[in-house]
Amino acid sequence: MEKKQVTALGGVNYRKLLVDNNSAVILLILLVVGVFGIDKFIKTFPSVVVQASLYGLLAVGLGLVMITGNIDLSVGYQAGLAAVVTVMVLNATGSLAIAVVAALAAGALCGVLNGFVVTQIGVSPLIATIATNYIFKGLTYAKTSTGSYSPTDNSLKDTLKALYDFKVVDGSKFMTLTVLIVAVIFILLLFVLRKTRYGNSVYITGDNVEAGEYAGIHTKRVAMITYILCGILCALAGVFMASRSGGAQYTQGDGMDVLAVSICVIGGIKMTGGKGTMVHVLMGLFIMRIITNILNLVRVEATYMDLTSGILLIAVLIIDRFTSRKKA
Amino acid sequence: MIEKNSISVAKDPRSPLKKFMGISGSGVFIALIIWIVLVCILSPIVNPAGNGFNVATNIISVLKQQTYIGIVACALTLVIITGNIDLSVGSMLTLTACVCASLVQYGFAAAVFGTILVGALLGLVNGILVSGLQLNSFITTLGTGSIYGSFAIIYCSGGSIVPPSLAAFEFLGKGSVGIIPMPVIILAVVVAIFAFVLMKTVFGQRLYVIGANPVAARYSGISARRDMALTYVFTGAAVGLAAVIMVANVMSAKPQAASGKEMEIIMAVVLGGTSIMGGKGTILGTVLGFAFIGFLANGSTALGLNQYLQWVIMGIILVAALSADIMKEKGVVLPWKKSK
Repeated sequence: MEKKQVTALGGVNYRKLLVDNNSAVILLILLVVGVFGIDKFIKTFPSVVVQASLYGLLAVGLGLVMITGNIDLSVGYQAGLAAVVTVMVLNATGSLAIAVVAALAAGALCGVLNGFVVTQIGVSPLIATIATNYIFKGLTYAKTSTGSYSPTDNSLKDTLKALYDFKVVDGSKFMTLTVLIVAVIFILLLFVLRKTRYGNSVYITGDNVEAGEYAGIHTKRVAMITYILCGILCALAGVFMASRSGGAQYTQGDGMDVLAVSICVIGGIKMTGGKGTMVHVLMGLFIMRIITNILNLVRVEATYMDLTSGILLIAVLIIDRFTSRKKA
Repeated sequence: MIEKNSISVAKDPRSPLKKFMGISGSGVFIALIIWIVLVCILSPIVNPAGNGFNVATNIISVLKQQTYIGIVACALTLVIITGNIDLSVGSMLTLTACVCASLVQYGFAAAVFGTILVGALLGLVNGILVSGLQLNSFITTLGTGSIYGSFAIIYCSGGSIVPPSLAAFEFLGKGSVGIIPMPVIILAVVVAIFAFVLMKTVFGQRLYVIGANPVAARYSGISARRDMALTYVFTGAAVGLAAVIMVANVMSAKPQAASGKEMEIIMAVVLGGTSIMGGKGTILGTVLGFAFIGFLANGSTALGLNQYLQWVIMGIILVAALSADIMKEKGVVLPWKKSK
């Protein structure tokens, strides 16, 4: 990706370069349209960043799983369940720190369940995570069926809310604690995938399991760990979601799975695995959030968001299809 | 190794029980029986005032509840046998239901055949994208699902559509012949048609070949693309029919009518032993699959479990059933037993 593709004639193959980075092109077009065409676009950009951080955690987790060639359709309710656990433990102990740790542990457990069923037993990841999604959804709804599940004590609710509202840099609109944490996680994963042994083995697992096994990589374990990481990242998103609205809500996890898959695919992560980086996830994330924001600013109904993401998904697939045929 | 195989072809040395377990869908059949027996025993204990769990009346009510899931699941079985998937069936069902509700005013024929036609067209779009352009079916239908879902919301402009009453049309959803409700009769006909297509026609046989080995299918002259597109068109038409029954039953359509139902439908198909990798599956298995999901909900209600607990139990049973299927097939050795 970083290297310029050189044709036989020695010139740069601009067409291929363009096609390989189609998500970057889409993002660039959106930015240009937004900055020059839409009122208040720059003014509202900080809120786009803050919003993106929540969805970003889900997408980054799913991205990891997708690079190994698997999928996780339960990300939304893993986050929802973590939000419920956060409030539950906060009520019981009164300590936000313990609540967060418990939520992350719950997420890790969800990841272990998914990872075990998919990697150790060998159930198709699509089907397995639809099935586990019912478990997470049921557990989430059990507590939030009345609409929302908030801390019983108002001071606890304030503590919870303060987490999302906390600004790292005074006066800055988008340097909140959540954005900072997400940025750190993002850079960490970027480094892990690029520079470490484990990162390498993630790509090999997605690219060619057999070759990986022959090279002495425990591909099952590698894939399992991506599920656990995904669970933890989703749980973190769940904590922030609970913190944003001051409690767990049953709508929180709804539709997030489709959104996260869309972000990853539009960004350039391939369903077949072995391809894509965290930068792709980031691009997909901003494409989706910027479209939402633009649609919001020109006062189009939220319905059109789903419509655009659907069209964009298929467009990206078609572009990929015709460019990969040229390669073969 | 070869000798051993040739012997087993001549005379199956397995015991009858093992032979039965080898049939796809046998697992879900056993689970279904166990669940029903369990509910029969437990429901008088949980609810002593009630009359217990009457299996006969519940079979009919479960089938009636599961009609639309069943019709779509049968058609989706064909898609999954070819190794593809359709995640847009839920949104498609919603959209066709909205279309159906607005077509009722033009008469019976328009409402029924118009809706089925619209469904088939939506299926054709999926078919063209997946088999014509050879896109990944999972993401394509995820995308078309979002598109159809938004169309439904736009079409209903947020509210719900209530069709004028039309006796002949309503009979499809609310009427019954003898004690058997009309939807169940339609479901039975659809099941019979798809079972016939899959088992007795050349088209059906081709679908297995396409799913099991696409390369072999191409070399043996099978037009896989056309057949794959056809499975999507059939699914669309089946969705249209399901939408007709749904609207005829409740006489209204709203944009949330069937959101999320695709998961239940896919689960019904897969539970019945149809392999998500393609090449394997039967309609009988799918029937058992959606009956099982129906009885799971129905029995949980009889036991007084709330909806959320039902989901949890359903999820656990699904994971267990799917895992058992795989372990039966591949002889998976769990990691903690590996060292021995």
